[in-house]
Amino acid sequence: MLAAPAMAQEVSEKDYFADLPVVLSVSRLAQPLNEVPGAVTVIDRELIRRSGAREVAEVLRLVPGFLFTARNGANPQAAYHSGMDTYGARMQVYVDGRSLYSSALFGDTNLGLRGIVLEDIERIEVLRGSNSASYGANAFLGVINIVTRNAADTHGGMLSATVGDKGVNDNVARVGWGDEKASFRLTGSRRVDKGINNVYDDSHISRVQFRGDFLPSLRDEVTLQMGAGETARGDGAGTAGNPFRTIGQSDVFLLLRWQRQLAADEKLELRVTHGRESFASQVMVSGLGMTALSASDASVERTELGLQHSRAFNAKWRLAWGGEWRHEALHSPSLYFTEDTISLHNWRVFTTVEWRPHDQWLLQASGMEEGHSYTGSKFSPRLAANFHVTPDHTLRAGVTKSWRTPAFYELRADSRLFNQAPGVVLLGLFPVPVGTQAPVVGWPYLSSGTVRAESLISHEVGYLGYIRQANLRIDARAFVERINDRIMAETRTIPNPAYPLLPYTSYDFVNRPGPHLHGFEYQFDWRPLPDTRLILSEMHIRSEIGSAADEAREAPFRNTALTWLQSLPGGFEFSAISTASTPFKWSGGDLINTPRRLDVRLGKPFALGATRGELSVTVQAINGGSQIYQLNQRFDRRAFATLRLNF
Amino acid sequence: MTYGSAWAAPVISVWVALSDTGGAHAETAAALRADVEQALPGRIDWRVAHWSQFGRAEPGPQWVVAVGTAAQRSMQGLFAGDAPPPLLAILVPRLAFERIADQRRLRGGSLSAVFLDQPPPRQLELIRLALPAVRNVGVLVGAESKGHTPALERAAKERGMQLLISMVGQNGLFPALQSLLTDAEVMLALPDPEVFNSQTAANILTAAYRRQVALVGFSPAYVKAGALLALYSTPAQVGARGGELLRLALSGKPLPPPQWPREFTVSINQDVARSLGLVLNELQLGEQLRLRDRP
Repeated sequence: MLAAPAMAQEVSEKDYFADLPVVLSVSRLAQPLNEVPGAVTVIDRELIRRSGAREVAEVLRLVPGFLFTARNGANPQAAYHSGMDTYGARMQVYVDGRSLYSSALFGDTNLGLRGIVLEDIERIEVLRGSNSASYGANAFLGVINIVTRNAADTHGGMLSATVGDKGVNDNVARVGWGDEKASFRLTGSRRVDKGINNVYDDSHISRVQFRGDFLPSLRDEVTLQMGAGETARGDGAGTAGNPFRTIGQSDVFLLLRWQRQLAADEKLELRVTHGRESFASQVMVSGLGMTALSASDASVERTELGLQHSRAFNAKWRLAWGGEWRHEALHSPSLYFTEDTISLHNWRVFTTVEWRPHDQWLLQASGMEEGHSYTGSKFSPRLAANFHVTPDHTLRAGVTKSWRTPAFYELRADSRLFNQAPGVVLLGLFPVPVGTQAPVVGWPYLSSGTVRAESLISHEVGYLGYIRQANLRIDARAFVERINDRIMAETRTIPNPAYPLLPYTSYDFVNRPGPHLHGFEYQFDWRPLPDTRLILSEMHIRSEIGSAADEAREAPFRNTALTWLQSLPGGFEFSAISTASTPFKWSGGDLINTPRRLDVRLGKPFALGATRGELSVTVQAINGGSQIYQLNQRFDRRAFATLRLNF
Repeated sequence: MTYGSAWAAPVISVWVALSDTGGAHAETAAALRADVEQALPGRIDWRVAHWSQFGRAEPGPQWVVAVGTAAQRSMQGLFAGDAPPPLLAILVPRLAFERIADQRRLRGGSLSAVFLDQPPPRQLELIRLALPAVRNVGVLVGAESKGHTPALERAAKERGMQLLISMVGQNGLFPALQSLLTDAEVMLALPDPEVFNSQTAANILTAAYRRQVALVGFSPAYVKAGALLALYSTPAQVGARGGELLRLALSGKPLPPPQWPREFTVSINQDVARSLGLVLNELQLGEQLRLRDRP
């Protein structure tokens, strides 16, 4: 630490003529939105705080084109354009460059998103669209980049407590320390609630996160992150075939990232991540007079190595290229019917060339070649152009092909149920002894392993504008997204040699024509007065059926989010977020008629000496709420209060 | 040096003492001479050298110009006795000048200066022009630069802005910087070797940029390093102003009081501006500021 000198150093003209190192070179600066070849929405810390959200998925409601649901209170979820699954498997989520998905089942990103501590987020950047060419498979419908706060920006202590209806009881404790060369942060958090009324969906999430940021030299930046978490969440419908149960989940991870400025316009980045995750879920299910243990215990280990190099050759040409290697190993006898550890590896090489033939034009071509030990190699190309009509008004166009590779379960599922009930005789004819694979229902999932990657061809045009006189920012995107080879679970009959007359009815994963989505979305972000901000995000979409009968309803015709942030006299801050959709049906759920939700929040930041704090009250669904995901589930009004102290 | 004058008027002997013989000091001296020579060609017998080259034994000059703080200190020392030749210090920071100025000579009107720093109203006006929405301007000050804060506070208040002052104390620079960045929307760098130097600039610039706080620097080096803007007077601008004052004095008028440089330059780092979503024009901004600078 720079100790204050005993005597002030005196100023002279030398201070004015001293040379300084180039610190914020072009490669260190964030690309302004009008130079990004795609539609990006940024949600900053301030907006997250004032949204009153407890979940990242709730924050994503503010992004044009994002739909929100909750399969139950413990599984809130956002998806871009279409509710094609309840796992978030079709969007790519990164936290500081670490991809966040669970390999155990369907490539779930929602569970990982639930573990993020909102207080540690600097901003969320959402790429609206598809971009496998830059982000690889699974950057299918939306890419979410969560940037957590640099440890240098969170020195000191922070305590936060939230209590309210529905058992809401959240706590965050954070401590940050360090100096100009190295900063550290340790965050502990706990989030508890009872979910939705009359549903067994209590959730209890606890996490510990560590982040260290190091500046060993002027040109190096090193980030080390570690985290561990544990979640218990209720699930099940309370029926014999789907009884109530508590699913346990735990994870640990490590991320090491090193960025070096090789020159003012040249940067190298290396990234290593390692993570482990395990699930514990066991329940006795019954049907057809039999009882069986249904388990989905699994443990997964994932290691990723990544390298990226970028260089601007001159004002006209810029090149970025890199590679990544990933290894996943999974052990789950209950889901894959093998004691062996099954594994896959995946490699990627990618490049992006950016060309500015003229001040007003920015053209970008990118491509990624990916290899996967199950599905072979794939190429994802992307072409995009930005045209600055004036510095404040930019037109965009792009075309790309993206992929979603099947998840482990889609490739290798093998779940079997064995009868545990003595004396079962089916139809009075077929005795089923204890330990026998239950006929008909005893093989719920068996993947034939023939499933291929889903593909998506997307065409888009967009506009990004800033009308200075009115202090209004506009972001609009029109799109055509053709999904093909959609992966779906379909039943088939598997012969049962032990009971030839009672074959198994089992799900397999198959490719089917996917929906064609087309529509447009926009955001008006208007600050008419210094104390007022209004954000209108809206999507209009039509979906043409590919194969599934419900596909056309998986996207609502219209989806709207209106946010009003108002600073009030006396230092109070008010916000209101209204979201509404036309009727739609999330995959596996019911057709919900016009879900509407209005959240309001009143906050009062204050200072007590050196301690700063904020007291806030949030009422979610103050309008009474609406049905969510299923007709028998309602997201009801709930209020909670938060006290936060920074010292 | 120049004796070929056709005028009968006597040649005036002027010493120009430099703190340093190269770079900015030489450039300032050259601009000063060019300005005077253009108006009074051949009238001046110039002696331009490093301050250590001048001694008391030589025939004394009629006027002395000190370029830089060290030169000012040595020239004041050299002519410490009675009836010293008038001294004009140029390219000196205001705080340095005020610290070493011989108060008796200052009152007597035989000592004046053209400062290197910028007047506070000009600094705040630039912020208002470039970033009209900004209300909270932060300054990070040390024991030296806190001398600037009263005038800056006044200038901010006049423009409906608030000056947030964070003092670098016993705990060092970093905590002061972090606490300032919590509330400041723009940060105005003030020359103070304890606070802003080539070691600390990197931390200050990166920490401010991470929080989207623009930095306004006081030299072109800051703009190159990553500050959004810089407001400064070049050596040529300071030298030319020095030349004007010297000419005035040579024409028999009293030496004007110490003053800010009249001409200035606004520089913008366009990469940083773009990245912060700003559209700024260097020439236009400079012109607007000049219009407001001269009522």
